Amino acid sequence: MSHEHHQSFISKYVFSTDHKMIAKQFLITGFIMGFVALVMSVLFRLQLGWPNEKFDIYNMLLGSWASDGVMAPDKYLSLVTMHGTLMVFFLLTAGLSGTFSNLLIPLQIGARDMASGFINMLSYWIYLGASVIMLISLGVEGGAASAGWTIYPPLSALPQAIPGSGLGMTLWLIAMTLFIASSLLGSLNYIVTIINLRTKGMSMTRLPLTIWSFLITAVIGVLSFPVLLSAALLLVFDRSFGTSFYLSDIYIGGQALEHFGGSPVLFQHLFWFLGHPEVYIVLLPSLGITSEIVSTMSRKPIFGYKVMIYSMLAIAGLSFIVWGHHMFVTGMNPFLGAVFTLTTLLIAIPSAIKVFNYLTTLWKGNIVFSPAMLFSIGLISTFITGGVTGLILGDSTLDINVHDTYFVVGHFHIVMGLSAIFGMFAGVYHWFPKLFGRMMNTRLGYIHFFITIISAYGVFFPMHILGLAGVPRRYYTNSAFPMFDVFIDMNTMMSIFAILAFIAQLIFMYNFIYNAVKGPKAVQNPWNSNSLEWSTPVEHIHGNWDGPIPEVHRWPYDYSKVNEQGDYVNGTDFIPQTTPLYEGEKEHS
Amino acid sequence: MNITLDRNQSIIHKSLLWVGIISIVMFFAGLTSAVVVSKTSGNWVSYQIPSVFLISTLLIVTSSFTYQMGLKLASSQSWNAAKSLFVVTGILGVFFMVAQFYGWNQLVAQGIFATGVKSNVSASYFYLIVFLHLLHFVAAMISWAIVTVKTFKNRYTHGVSKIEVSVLFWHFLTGLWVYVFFFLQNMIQG
Repeated sequence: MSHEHHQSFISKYVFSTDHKMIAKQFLITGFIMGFVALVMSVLFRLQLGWPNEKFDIYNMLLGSWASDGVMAPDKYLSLVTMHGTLMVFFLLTAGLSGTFSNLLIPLQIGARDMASGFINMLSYWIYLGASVIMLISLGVEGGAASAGWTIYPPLSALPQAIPGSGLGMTLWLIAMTLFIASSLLGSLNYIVTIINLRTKGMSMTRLPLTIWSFLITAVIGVLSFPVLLSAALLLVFDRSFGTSFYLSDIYIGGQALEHFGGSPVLFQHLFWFLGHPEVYIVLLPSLGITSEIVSTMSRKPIFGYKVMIYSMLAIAGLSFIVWGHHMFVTGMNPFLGAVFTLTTLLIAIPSAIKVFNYLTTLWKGNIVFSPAMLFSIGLISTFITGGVTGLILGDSTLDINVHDTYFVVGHFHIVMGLSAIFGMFAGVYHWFPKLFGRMMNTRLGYIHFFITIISAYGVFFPMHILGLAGVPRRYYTNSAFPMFDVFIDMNTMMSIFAILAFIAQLIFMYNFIYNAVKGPKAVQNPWNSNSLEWSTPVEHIHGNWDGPIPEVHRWPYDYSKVNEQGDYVNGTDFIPQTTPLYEGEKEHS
Repeated sequence: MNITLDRNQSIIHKSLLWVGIISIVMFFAGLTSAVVVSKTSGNWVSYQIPSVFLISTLLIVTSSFTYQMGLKLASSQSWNAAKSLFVVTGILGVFFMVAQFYGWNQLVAQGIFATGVKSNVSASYFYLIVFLHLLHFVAAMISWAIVTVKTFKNRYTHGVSKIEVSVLFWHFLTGLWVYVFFFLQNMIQG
């Protein structure tokens, strides 16, 4: 099979059906969306750290949203809503899965491309359309959506509710509908590719854990995103066509609305049926990436390979029966609350197993502290610290006390936000040579990591203290509550850390952009890794391998494998998956 | 940029459809579970669903049989009989869609409205879910139209795997309608 053919600029870089190019498109779009969301977080952290102070940067970036340099309260709500939306969906769902599933699935399973290059291309372009519409919504009259990233009705269902409930909310819904379509098309492709297009010898138990994590993520997406779509559809009908699915007995300005018979709690059920699995859609790819990097950079086989798979399957299964823990204060029957508490706490078991296996893999390893490895270790750290507070929030009797406080904000930013973005950074540092054929600067990577992890903990750890003291989330300022005055300095400190974290990301951006263009050329297998993607040429070619697709003979974690005499089986500390078993060598089972 | 993938394309097409079917199932599962939650929240108005929807159920079930028979005949290269059955399937499909619209008209005549002051969520759900099924059925009709035109142009003499994909999607929508109809009937009349 020959892959030499002419490609125009448009077909190669714009409307590409090549999975590697689509991966780069997802990555760059995701980073742009993430950067916008990051700037937003700095802007509202300025307001929280120095309440009601004037900032010239507000005039520059926010215009009429901050007349005289003071942020308008309703625009603060727009900023937090859009920050959450862009981070959770556009960076950590599409940016993360879209990049690494696209890049690694065909390369690691040994396929020429995705099952359908066209559907893959469509997935990206719909995502881009959704991104553009979401950004446009920032500039419309009344401002962007302001009902929080969870867009609970009635704020989201009544265009007259608050300024952001108008056109901004309509555009939010259009963008998210497109986003869901993009995500479903992507997931469809990932699942079918992994099931049907594995190369000879690539059994399911020889797959790298990255692929398992992408597969399980895609399955969760296919099962949960359609339910969010149904929720959004009912919301659109309530907003625009006079139905009352979520609305009943509402008065605005003393006047009763015509809506009757609906239930806002219904929306929460439908939303969180997606919303909780969404946590794992965001997290699992990062856990898979970490498994791969921890093993490669410890020069040791991953500990408990099959248990890792079972754990991910258990997490995925349980994620569908825990949504009620987001709704403990909706008047839920206490017995039902207890059931959701039980199912939620059960997730701690597979999660703990994964952490144990990461640590055991690291134990006595010949560790290479690359930036990717540091971010992977960072993920393990945040997965533990954020997971532990999850036990508190998963228990209905404890959750009720800290519901809607900064405790919740601290918890999910650490366990979901930081863990997922650390996994993504780890992935970018590790597979940068595969993406761009060049190497990133390691020293800048170290600076990026240490500033990021210290400042991220500096922002989010104190939030638990605020939350335990009862400081509510989503408030523009707490200056009306004298009992919270003691936390003013703490808030200022958190905002300084947020600015530091922002600066660290500028360093990363420089490292990324400069080295994508001018970085030193990569060698074919820079990390001495076993998995199949490193057997492809450094220069991207359509069809991935210039010749037949290699056959696989072993799992991808044969690192530092020794024979009975204690010597390396093949003279080095890694054996690529393409290497047939040596005489007398037993395959890992 | 055509890459010949190593595995059989028809398996890939069927796999894509199956995963798509799973996501459509979850979409309707979300909607029908919303019906259950709304009904238990109170303010639920019961009413009689017009009998024409039972007729449309019979039409779509029959169309599934004719499409399947057509596929079987196409597989055994009996093209003339297959073509006839494909046409019959399409006619039944059109009748099904017409019956749905007729049913909505009867509901309006009964004073059951989808939206507005006089509506109730029980009616809104019925109109919306039937509409969404119909929207998917339009996709099935498009796939049927492509298959039928290509059959008349003798494009499937080398293999019928693409017809199989279209028939599978049709059967799925038949099954989905049967579920939706009896579920809504039970929830609204019950």
